[in-house]
Order: sequence, then C-alpha cells, then structure tokens
Amino acid sequence: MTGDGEAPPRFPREIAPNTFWFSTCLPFSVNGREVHNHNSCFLVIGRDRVALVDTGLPFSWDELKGQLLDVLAGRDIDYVFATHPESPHMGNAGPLMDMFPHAQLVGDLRNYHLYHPKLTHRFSHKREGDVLDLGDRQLIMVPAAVHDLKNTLWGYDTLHHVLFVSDGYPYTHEHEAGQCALTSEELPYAPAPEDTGPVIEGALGWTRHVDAELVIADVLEVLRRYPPSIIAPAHGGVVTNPDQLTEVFKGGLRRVSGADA
Amino acid sequence: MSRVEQLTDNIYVLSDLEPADPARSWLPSDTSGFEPFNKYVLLEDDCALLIETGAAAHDESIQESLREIVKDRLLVILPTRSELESIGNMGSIIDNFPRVELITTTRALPPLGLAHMRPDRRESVKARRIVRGEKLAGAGFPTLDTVTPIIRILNTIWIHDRRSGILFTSDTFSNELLPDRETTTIRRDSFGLPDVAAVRRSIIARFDWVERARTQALQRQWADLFALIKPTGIAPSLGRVTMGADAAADAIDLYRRALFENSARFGFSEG
Repeated sequence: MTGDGEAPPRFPREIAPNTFWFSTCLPFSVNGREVHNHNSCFLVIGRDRVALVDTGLPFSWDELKGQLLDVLAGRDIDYVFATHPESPHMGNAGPLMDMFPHAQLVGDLRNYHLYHPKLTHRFSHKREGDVLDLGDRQLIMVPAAVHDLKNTLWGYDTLHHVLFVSDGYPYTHEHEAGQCALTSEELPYAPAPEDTGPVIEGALGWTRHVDAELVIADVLEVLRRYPPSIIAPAHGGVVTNPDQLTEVFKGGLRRVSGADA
Repeated sequence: MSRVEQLTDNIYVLSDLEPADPARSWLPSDTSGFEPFNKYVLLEDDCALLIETGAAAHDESIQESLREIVKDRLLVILPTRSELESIGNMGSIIDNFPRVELITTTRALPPLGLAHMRPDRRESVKARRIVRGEKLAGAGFPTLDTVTPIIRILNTIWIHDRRSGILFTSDTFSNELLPDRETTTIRRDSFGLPDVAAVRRSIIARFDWVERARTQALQRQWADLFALIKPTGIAPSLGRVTMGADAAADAIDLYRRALFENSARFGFSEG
C-alpha cells in the first residue's frame, strides 16, 4: 500500500477498493513503555449502498465527520453497522443517524431501544448470516468468535474478502511518528503476541478464565467459513497477512489464558 | 421521575423500570416481570456521588430526580463501566448540571471522551482518572473504596462503602427482576429469592463466557473478597437491590452456587 520514500500514510486510508479505514490512535503506558492503540471504523462503499462498520469515539466525532464527508463525496451512508453497544463501536451512532436521515442502524440491536429511544423506527435488527446488499458487494453478518458484549457481530465483505472483527485481532503499536496508519505488514517490526495483551487483558478479560484452544477453534471456524484477504480490527492495525497475524492472535490468547490459575 | 428509594441515611437508589422483553434485551427467553435500571446517589455535605448515569431512555426522569436530591451540591459522576447503562446520560448530565465532575477508570481515552457533550463542557469539566483498588477519599468520599470485580465483561469497577457496608456491584448480582411495577426495588430479606438454576441461566445470557470458564481461580478470588468484605447491602446497576447483612450473605451464597457449583442438576459442568 506504500512505497519506499513516500510520506507515511494517514487516515483515512483505502485498504481495498472502495473500503476505507478511519481511526483515532490513543497513547497509553504499558510497563513504562508508551504504545498506541487504534479505535477504528470502516466505510464500505458499494455500487448502490454504503455501510459504515463501527462509528468511532464521540470525542473524535468532529474529525471523523470531516473525513467521512470527504471520502463519501456526496453519497450518503445507508447502513450504520455498530458491531456492539460500547462507546468505541457505537458512540457516534446518534450524530451519524442525524447526518444521514435515511440511514438504518443495523446490528444485533438488543437493548438499543434504551440507548437510542428516538431512533427505533430506523432499527434493522440483524443476526448471524443476514446480509447487507450494497449492490456489487455484500456485507454478511458473521458470528463474533471473540467478543466482550454478547450481542457482537463481525462482518464479511464478499467482494474483497475483508473480515471486520471488532474487538478481535487487537494489537498495539509503538509510539513512533507515522506508524498509526500502517498495516501489519508495513510496520518496521512484526507484531508479537505480547502486543495483543493490553486489549485482550482489558476488554477481553474473560479470556484468562477460558481455555484458549476453545476460543481459537471458534476463530478458525469463522476463518474457514469466511476466508479473509484482509482483517480489519477496531483495536489493531489493518491486517494484510491474516495467516501470520492469526498466529499472533492465537499466541496472545494462549498467553493470557490460565494466567490466574 | 425515576423511582427513588432510600437505602441508608445518605444513599438513594434511582430505579427506572423496563418490562422484561427477551426478544430485545439480554434476558433469558423465559423471563417475565420488570427490570430495574439502577443509579445510586451518595450524599455528602458538599458533594454527591452518582454511580452510573443510566440509559438514554431514562434521561429526563434521572435528571429530574437528581435535581431534587442533589440540590446545589457538587455532582461527581462515576460510571462503573463503559456500557450504555453506565454512560448513557454522561453527556447530558455534564451539559445540564453546572457543578459537575467525573471520575473515570478509562486508561487511554480522554476522560470525557466516551460521550457527546458541549465543547465548552469537554474543555472545562474536571475529570479524575482512578485505578481499581484506589480509595475515593481524594475525590471527597472518604468511606468509599474501589474493588476489582470477580466477574466482569468490560473494564469494570465495584465500589465498597465502608460506612454503610454496601457493595455496588455494577452488572454482577443483577439477575433478579420485579414481578410488577409496585414491588419495591429493595429486597430486605431472602424470602422468594430466585433459584440457583434461574440465576445461572440469567448470568449466562449476559456473561456467556462463564459457561466455558475454568472457575478455580475465580472461586478463590470470590472467597478471598467475601472473607475480607461482609456487605450489608448489594447494589447492582440492574435488578433488585439487597439490603441487610443476612439477606446479602444469602445473595452472595446464591450467586456463588450459580457461578461455580458443579452440578449436573443444573445442566452445567466445569469447562
């Protein structure tokens, strides 16, 4: 996606044709070392309709809004797909639905009537296997093999085989200028299982109490049914080498599992 | 107005009731009754702590109730986790209460970054980061300690009030609904507690990982915590509140059995 000597890429970034990556990177300290973690959302532009996968964080709304409008170039968002009801994933659903008055809010929307009581007439409840038809491509609702809140769904783009994995495949990156918008293969070092720790141990704290092999089996089953060319996590860089990063993710799950035993 | 009930001299629970609707909630399919969505207000002389800001659907009733209870005190907001029952009205409360501060456990996020609010409020409202285990004396609440939860999904804190003995448990101990709107949110005895199997079904409907969990470490942590703390009240963000040392001990035992007891009778086994 980048060549030698080019300026480092910035957000928003086209990760596959008509598939754009937006993100806010947040620095924090891990054992005295400053690292960055993504909070990403993805725009999937089809011939007939447009879907936004996750919504970004409320505090970065002004920046995201401008970037979205630039990329959309006059088109509307038809589907706001919140993978689950947590602030990094649906925190901008309200202003997005205001800005695109014909958009539907889609996902496993259990309890959303309490979160957006004035938008219930624009809800479209989805389950695993349901499809958003964007015209020349479809976005399939995929079981979230790894999740915090139970009503999480992942998504799979049938045209370019992008798997949107929400809290899955998280990893931090170094606090170096220009690294935030790099993919897993563009980073100057290979992500390691340790880099998954801050998110897995925090947002996915339950993984320390469940046999990692059970979780890994679920992940592999999703990969078998929905083979990805690209994996798009909300809390890690975009993965362009799914096989290698799957090994990293597996290592991260095994590292945490049983830590308290 | 939210339903306001008094737990102690200075602690109130604000409940907004939602009819059980398993089709569009976390509740198991056989659930009926009404689910209380609870917020707690702890009054000190000059300040008031609000634990949870509630779901957006209850915004007006919560704010009306808060104005009556808090009066001109400084209002300090403390969400126990970043789920929408906890932070759903954070922005609107910050926008509407002139003297307000935030306590948050977020690590990387800007403290006020989880919610939409007026830009001038985002710039000016004081926010304090805390970590689990920290005491809240520095925030004006000398009897409150934060506690690391045994069972959680998101990053979550529990809070223990040493003065009253009440343990605020976020989304744990949250599985008992009300049979009707007239029943008080507060249970003061153990009569009619739900059975172990029903509580386990309800826990797993939300904490699905528990079904596959290896529970030895969790059981140790549970035993350690409740050897150290003997709550006289259990105050969850959802479901009924339990008050009284005996009733609280019975509730703790009920949840221990529902979470950890390995019995084919309940149709579950150690993962």
